[in-house]
Amino acid sequence: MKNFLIPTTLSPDTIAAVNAAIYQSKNADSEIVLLFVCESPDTYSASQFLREMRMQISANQENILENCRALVNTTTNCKLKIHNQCGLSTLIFKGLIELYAINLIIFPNSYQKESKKINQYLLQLATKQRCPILHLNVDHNAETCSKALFIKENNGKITLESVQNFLNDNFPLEIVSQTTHQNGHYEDAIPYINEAISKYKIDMLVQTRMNQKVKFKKNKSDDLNQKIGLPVLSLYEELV
Amino acid sequence: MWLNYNMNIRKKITFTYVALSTFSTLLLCVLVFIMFRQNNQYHFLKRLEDRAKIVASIHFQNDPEKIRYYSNLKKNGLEELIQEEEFVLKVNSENSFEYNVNLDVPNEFYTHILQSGRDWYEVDDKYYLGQIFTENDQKYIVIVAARDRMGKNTLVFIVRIMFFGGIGFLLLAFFFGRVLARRVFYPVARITKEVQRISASNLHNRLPQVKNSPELSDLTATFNGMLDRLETSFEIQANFINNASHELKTPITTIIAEAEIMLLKDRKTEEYINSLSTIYNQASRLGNLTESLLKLTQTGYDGKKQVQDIARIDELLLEVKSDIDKIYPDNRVVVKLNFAPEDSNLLLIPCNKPLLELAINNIITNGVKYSDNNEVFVMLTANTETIKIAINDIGIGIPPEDIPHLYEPFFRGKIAAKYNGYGLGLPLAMKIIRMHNGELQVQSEQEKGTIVTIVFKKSNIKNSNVDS
Repeated sequence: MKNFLIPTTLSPDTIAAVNAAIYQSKNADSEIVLLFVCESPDTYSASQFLREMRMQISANQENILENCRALVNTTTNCKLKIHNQCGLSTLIFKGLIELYAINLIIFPNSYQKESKKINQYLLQLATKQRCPILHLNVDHNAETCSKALFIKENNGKITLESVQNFLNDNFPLEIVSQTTHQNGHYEDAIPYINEAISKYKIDMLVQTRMNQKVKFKKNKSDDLNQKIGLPVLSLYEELV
Repeated sequence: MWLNYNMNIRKKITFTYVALSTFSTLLLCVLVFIMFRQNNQYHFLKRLEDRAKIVASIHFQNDPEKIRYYSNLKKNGLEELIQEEEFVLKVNSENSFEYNVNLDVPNEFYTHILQSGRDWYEVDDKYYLGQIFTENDQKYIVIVAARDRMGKNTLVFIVRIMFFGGIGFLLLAFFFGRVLARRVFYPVARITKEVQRISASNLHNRLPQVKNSPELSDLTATFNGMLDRLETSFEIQANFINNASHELKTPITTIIAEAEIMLLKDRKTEEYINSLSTIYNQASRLGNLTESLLKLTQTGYDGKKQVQDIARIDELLLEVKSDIDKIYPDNRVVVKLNFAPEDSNLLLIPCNKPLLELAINNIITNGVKYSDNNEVFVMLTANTETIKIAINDIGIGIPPEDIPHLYEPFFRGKIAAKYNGYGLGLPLAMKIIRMHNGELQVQSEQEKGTIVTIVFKKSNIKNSNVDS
C-alpha cells in the first residue's frame, strides 16, 4: 500500500505527476491524492466563510482533472482522491499527511514556479515533513527512472549505504554516481555532473535534506532541478 | 616571507603580553595606592579624634594643673603631631557659635559639623577634624588640626616602590612574553623548517605528526594531504606518457588480436558483428581509460569535486577477472567472494571506475606474471568501515631490500628482471588506491609468494575525523 500526495494547480504537467505516481505504485493498492490549496478568506462570520470558500475551476483545469481521472481508471490498483484545502499551517499539512498515510509527495514541475504565496508555503512545509519528496522535471518520463546520482552533503552524516538501503526498500533506483555538494555552490560541479549524467544515462538526482526554517526568499535561488533538468528525489535525513 | 610573517606574530604576541600585563599591574597599583591612602587617612583621623576627646575633657575640667600635665604629656609621651592646633568653640544657638579668627576653614565645614556632629576635611596634607561635645547642656565644637607628614612620607615611599617595581615588572613581562611567543611558535617554526626541506626532488617526505596540539596536528595532516595529492599528480604528470603507453598496451593488443583473427579468412555476418562489438567494447574502454588518465594528470585532482562513480567492488573484481581472462586465457585467478557480506550495500564504493579497475588489474596481473601462472587468490571482505581486498600469489616473492622501492617508477627487482615489464604498474596502482582513500600493503617472502592487501576506508569516517 503506497499513497501519493500531489499538490497541484491543475496545470498540464499534473498528468505527468499522476503518471509518475502510478509508476511508483508498482501495482500495489494505492491512493493518489490531488491537493488544491487556497488562501482562507478573511471573513467575520462562519457563514460568510462558507460562502466565500469556493474552489473555482476553469474549463481547462476541468479537462485536466478529467484526464487524470481517466488515467487512474485505466489502472486497477490506484484510486484518485481530491482534497480541497482552504488555508494552511504546519499542523494542518502534517495532519493531511497522516490522514492519507502519504508515502511520497510528488510536485509537478510547474508547481515550483507558482507565484501564489500559499503554494510556495506548501512547498516549504513539505520539506519539513519526514516524507520523501519527488520534484519532477519538465518532460518527465516515468518509465525510465532507474539510475540515480547521489548528491552528498559536504558535512552530512548520511552514508551512501544507508541511502541505497532506503532506496532499495522504497524506490526502484540504483545510485551509480555521487558528487559532494559544497554548501550550495553547484556551479563548479555542474559540468562534471552533466558529463556523468550523459555517460551513465542518469535519470534521477537523490539528495538529502535537513529540517529547515520556513522562510520566503525574495530572489528564489534556482535549485538543482532547474539547473540540471532531472527529477530530484529529496529524502529526509533522519528517515534515512 | 613566511619567516618574516612568523616573526611579526611573535613580536605581536610579546607586545600584547607586555601591554596586557602592564595594564593589569597599573590597575593593581592604582588600587593599592587608593586603599593605602584611605587607610592612612583613617588612622590619622582616629588619632585626631582621640586628641579631640582629650582636649574637650581638659577644657571642661578647666584645671591648670591638668592643662600643664597634658601639654607635658603631649611633648614627651604622645607621638608628635606636626603643626598641631586645637580650638574649642562654644556653640550659642542652632546656627551661631563663638568664632575664632585664627582658624582658617570654610563655612560649610562648620555647618556640616553642626548638622551631623562630626566632620573632617583636608587641605595641603593638613587635616581638620571637628566634633561636638556636650557638657552641662552646653555644646562645644572641638577642632583639632595637624599635618600628616608620616602618612605623606609613606605614600611617597610606596609610590616610589610601585614605580620602580613597575619598570622591573615591565622588563620581566617583556622577557616572559618573548619566551612565551617562542614557545608557542616553536612547533610552527619547526614545521616551517621541515617544509623547507621538502622540494620537488623529495616530495615523498612527510611532516612528522605533532602530538598534544590538535590545531597543529590538523595543520600537519592538511599539509601531508596536500603533499600526497601534489606528489601523486606530479609523478603522474611526469610519467604520463609512460603510464599511458603501459596501460593502453593491453586493450590495444586485444583489439589487434581480435581483428587479426577475423581477417584470417571470410566469415559469417554474425561473427563479424560479434567481433566488431568486442572491438567496440575494447575501444570504448580504451577511451574511458585515456580520459581517466588525463583527468588524473590534471593538477590538484583529489576526486572530490568531480562526480564519482558508485561501483560494487565485487562486480568490479569480476570484471577485472574477465579482462585478465582475455589476456591470459589459461590463468588460475580465483576470486573468492564467499567472505563478502550479505548486504551488498556495504560493497558500494565511490570511485573512478576505470582507474580503480586498472589498479586492481595491475596488481592481479603482477601476481599472475611473477608466479609463472600459478594460482592467485583474490579475497574480498568488507564491513561498515572498510573494504579489504587480499591478493595472494604463490610466486617468486619480493626480496626485503626491494620492498621500499616498489612504488618508484621504473624500479625493477633483481629477480624480476627475467620477466617482461617496465616497473610502472605497481606505482600507478599505488597512486590510484591512495587517491581512493585506500592503503596498499605488501607482505612477501622470497620463493614463497606475496600477499598484497588493499584496504579502502569508507570516506565518511575520514570526513567525520576532519570535522571534529
